[in-house]
Amino acid sequence: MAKSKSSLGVGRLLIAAYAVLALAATGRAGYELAAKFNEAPLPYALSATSALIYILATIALSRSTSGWRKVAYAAVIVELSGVLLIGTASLIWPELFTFNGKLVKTVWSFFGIAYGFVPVALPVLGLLWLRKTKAAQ
Amino acid sequence: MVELFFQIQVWAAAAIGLILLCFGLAKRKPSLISIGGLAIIQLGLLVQLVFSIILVAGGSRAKGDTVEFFAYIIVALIVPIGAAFWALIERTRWSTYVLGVGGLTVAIMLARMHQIWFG
Repeated sequence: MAKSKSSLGVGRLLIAAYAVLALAATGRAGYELAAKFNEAPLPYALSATSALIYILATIALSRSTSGWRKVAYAAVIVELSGVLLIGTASLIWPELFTFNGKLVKTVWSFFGIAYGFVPVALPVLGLLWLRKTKAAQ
Repeated sequence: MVELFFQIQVWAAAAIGLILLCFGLAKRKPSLISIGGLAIIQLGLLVQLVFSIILVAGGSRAKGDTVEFFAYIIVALIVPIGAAFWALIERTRWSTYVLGVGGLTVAIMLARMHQIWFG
């Protein structure tokens, strides 16, 4: 009993980390879409997509019903694929992200280096957390 | 003057964040002291917001993008409020960690705002 309670606590920390990232990505994407979307549509659309996924993951992880758990799984897996794909693409094909001779970054560029690699660490922790809580049920 | 205020703010927010994480490690539940720590950070942000509005109204502009600067300050103002609400609703030691993470988040955002304003 005590153990499941403490693991719930760690889960709260994960949700808090997701909330911070959701807020950061939303703030960034909101600014990019409002102020300069036409300068670099692809990277800014990607930032907005990541913001939506973080919001969805934050909500889904904070609910414990089986439906929301599925949503949480989906959101976290999409997020992990996104950060791995975009992270790799930003390294191999920087020209995809170059507009008017300037490299435009997204939340997921270089595996989230601008956010201390939190974007690549969180989905892994999220998957571990989802697996662990399922085992506890 | 403004730059000095910025520096103090960044380090104060980082210090408060770290102290609150230590409070979490010590298994302390959120208290008037820990929520007060975030209140100090919030007060600093509000002073910063008023300062910035006065500066921009007086014709100053950020070296980077002024709009981005204000986007940061508005989002930063949401963080302590969210963390404090969380701590008030859930009075466990995990909320103390959440408060600490909130403080560190504001510190990082302030450092980025400093970069945008001063170039």
